[in-house]
Amino acid sequence: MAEREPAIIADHSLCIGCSACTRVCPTHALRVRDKIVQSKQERCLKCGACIFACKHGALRAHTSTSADLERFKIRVALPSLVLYGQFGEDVRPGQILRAFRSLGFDLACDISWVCEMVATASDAYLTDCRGPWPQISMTCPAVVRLIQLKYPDLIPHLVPIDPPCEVAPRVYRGRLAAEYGVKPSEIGMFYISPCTALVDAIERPLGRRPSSLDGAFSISELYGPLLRALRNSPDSDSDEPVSIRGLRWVMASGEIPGMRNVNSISVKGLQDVTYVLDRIEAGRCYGADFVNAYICSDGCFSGQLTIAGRYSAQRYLHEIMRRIGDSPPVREERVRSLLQTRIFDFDDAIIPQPDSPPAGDLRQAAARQRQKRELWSRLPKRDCGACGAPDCDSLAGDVVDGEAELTDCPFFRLEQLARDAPFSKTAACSTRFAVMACCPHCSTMLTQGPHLEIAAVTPGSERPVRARLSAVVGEMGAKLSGEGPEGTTMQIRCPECGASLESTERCSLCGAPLARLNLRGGGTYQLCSRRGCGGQTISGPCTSEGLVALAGYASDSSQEGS
Amino acid sequence: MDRDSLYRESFPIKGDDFERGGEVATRVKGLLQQLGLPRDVIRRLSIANFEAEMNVVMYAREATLEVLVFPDLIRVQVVDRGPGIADIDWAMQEGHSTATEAMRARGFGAGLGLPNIQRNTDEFEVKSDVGVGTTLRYAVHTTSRPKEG
Ligand SMILES: Nc1ncnc2c1ncn2[C@@H]1O[C@H](COP(=O)(O)OP(=O)(O)O)[C@@H](O)[C@H]1O
Ligand code: SF4
Ligand code: SF4
Ligand SMILES: [Mg+2]
Repeated sequence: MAEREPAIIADHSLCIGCSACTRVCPTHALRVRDKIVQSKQERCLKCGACIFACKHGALRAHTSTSADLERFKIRVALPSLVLYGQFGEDVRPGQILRAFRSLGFDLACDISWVCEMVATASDAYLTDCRGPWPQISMTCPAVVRLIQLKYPDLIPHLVPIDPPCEVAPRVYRGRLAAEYGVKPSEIGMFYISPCTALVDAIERPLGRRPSSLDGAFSISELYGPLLRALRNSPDSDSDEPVSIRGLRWVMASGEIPGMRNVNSISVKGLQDVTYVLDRIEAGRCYGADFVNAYICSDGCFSGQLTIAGRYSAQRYLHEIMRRIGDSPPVREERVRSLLQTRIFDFDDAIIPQPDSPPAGDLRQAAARQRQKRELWSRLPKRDCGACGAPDCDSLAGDVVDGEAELTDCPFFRLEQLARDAPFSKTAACSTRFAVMACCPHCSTMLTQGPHLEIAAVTPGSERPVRARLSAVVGEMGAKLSGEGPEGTTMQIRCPECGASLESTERCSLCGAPLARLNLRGGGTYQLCSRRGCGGQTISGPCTSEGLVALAGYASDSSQEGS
Repeated sequence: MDRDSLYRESFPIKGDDFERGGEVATRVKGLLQQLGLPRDVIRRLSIANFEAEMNVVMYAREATLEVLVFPDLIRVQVVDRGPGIADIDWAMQEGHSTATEAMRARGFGAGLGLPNIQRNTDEFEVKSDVGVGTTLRYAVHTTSRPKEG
């Protein structure tokens, strides 16, 4: 991975500016500007919600490459336990670990024992802890970032124990270096991750201490190669034992079964996490001592970099666990002695990173807030996202901060246009929208997809010719087809009922009669009936029914009649 | 209002809406964060707002929570339409509650709400008209030394 690159990158050549991602982002970190997605990195939790939302593959996880692997003499894969549930109930963890050898790794190490140790270490920590209650697990980095950003008061609640993927290299690196006779730094430790949050925490650690991992690959990108390797490799029954308690810990999303501190809850999904954090902050915490919070809706099984559905993955793992039976527990004395070596410690302070302005001049902040509210009150409050901001409130904030204009809102711009002057093709809109126009006589909707369908009759001819114009305002070449030279004035009719659409008004550009259509929901749309002119006006009051915001509409500018 | 506020905003709260209970407190917290107020002030107001909001959800029909920002304090008034409180002194005692079994099952009704609001604020006042409604007014000073919550 390149230096400190975020774990989610946008491929601008694939982004169509549909703004679906901006609306799902829990921290409003995304904007669409100039038809391309942009991210306010300081707000991004790396939760991956945007990756799910993008239907165009424009957002993806940024993971290690084979070149990163080649930098090391010994390459070690450390798969998340979620991987064990990806291939069905008949594939054992040991087989999966062995399959990594065909993927350019020297070996893969099981981390279920590390998970069990982390659970035991948390239990020991909670036993000695004096609060504040409830304590909150640091296993999900997206939750930690959410706390840094929105709940800085809850930082003292975080249990300073690293997630298993950070602890595992500390457990294995020295041991493997001795075994292979190489320097510890010549061993490359790569996490096989179910999500972007854990990948990101490698490049951009939550504290100042560098990650103990050397990189990460996603479960989804290795799934195909692993499946192939599993098919081709002979089965063997000399599997290394895995920790059943470690697997159970993952299944229960960190709740600690069979341990002293059973008074724990696990909270999954952004909405529930916010709900619970809000209440902890308000001093109401259900009497739980330990909260395991995960930003993904079903914990790590629903990470966006997994393949098997969360339900089947959990069912498979359940069955795999049943078949394994039991495993001897990790002895607590051993974990306690490891605690002394600090391998579990999140060895740094979490620093608040509020996205709000620093404490300062209240007058100035209040003035900004007033200004923002005033702008907001002028917006249509549809929260449609067509402006590129997730909602009207965010656009108002962006305008105050000088990052956007009120006219980025197509409705605002339209109202302004309808009020100020009927516009012509010379006053093309920078924000695009389409007309939803009907025949004023028979009310048939004449907009079909991106086209406006009308019938045009050339003078001297009786035969109406169907014409398709672009329904996209601002790029509407109202070039009517038909016989006769450019400049011929046509008679425009409804293609359905045949009634003439001629208006009493004339084109402001060439003086020819306009044809008049009704906009759905109110307002009218008129276009010039002279071939090649393209003059058009919209008069209000029109609504979003008649003028549809065009996030993601394909450019369709030179419509000729057919 | 005796003097002009720097900023004011009102938030409606609906009675019985347990589903959305706490939402207004969260929105107000966002506003206070935007104003760059000290964290201690935000924390104390959030506790008070949450309790006040939940009291409306549990006992009243509807209310408006208004936030007023002054140079040296943040004032909140919660004006509700509801049954009112017959004996305010009784209600202000820790542990006194008329919450139903169902409310207790949801983790409310410990009788700590009103005392908690008072403890976390620098000014506090309840007025009530039985059968009409209750008005809660409280304020947190933004310039004073942090008060123990
Ligand atoms: N807005 C209100 N309208 C009517 N009654 C209220 C209101 N707020 C509080 N009360 C009454 O005061 C009592 C004490 O309130 P509080 O201290 O918040 O404790 P709790 O909500 O746990 O009962 C409530 O049980 C209720 O009878
Ligand atoms: S704007 Fe649309 S296409 Fe572009 S990244 Fe967001 S969801 Fe994907
Ligand atoms: S990863 Fe999450 S927080 Fe970051 S931009 Fe995507 S949706 Fe927003
Ligand atoms: Mg209460």
